[in-house]
Amino acid sequence: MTDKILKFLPLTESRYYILLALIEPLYGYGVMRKVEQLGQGAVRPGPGTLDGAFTTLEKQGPIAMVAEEERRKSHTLTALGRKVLLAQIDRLHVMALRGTQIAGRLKPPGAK
Amino acid sequence: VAPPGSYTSGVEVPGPVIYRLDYQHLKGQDRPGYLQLFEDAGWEHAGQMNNWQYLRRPEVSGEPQEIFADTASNAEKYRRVIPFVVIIGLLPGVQLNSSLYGRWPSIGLEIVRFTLFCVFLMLVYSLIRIGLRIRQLTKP
Repeated sequence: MTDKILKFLPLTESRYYILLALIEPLYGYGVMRKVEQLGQGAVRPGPGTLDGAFTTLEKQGPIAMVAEEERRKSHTLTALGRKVLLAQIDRLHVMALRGTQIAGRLKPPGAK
Repeated sequence: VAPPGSYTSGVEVPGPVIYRLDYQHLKGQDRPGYLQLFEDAGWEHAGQMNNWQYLRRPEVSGEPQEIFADTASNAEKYRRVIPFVVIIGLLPGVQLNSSLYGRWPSIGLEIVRFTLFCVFLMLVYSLIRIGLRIRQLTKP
């Protein structure tokens, strides 16, 4: 099971936000807007990235289609998707922690 | 009058327009959802050719100009092309090794063989170019 989770890591920044957005069922364009909001504008996935992500992630298991209304498919996280996301968040915690510890030493002396 | 070989879509769009290409083999049931997603995001489906999807939108500063957010998903587009080129490349490849050649020497067969060889070379060349593009996109 761990191997199955590890093979998705590290997620690209856009995939990470796409999975975060899918904590609740959301259709394509809804995911796009949610990701822009979550990433504070730094990540704009674009329909090509989203379509590719939906197809691949649905096939590999982290997300599943839950509804289809008027040509718009809604996806949400599966049990596997939740585990993948949690594992990624753990890694990011370590990355941020270590970064913060070193950050003070990166600034030139005298700078605030 | 348009010169021969040129193409006009017949749709007049005022101002500059951005065109982007995606590579998708759209099966019947995937097609409406795919087109809807692009439409919602402000992209018009201008047409398709051999699975290449032509998307366009008016160029407005400050609005998204790309259909891919990152090089990783753009590289995936090129990975999707590979199986199709390999399958198309196998046909002339297999024909080249056919036992038909040499049994009855004929100039006609030689011409066919030479043509197939050229097609095969072109497909190998396109595979190399696709591979290089993926490498260019994915290298750090």
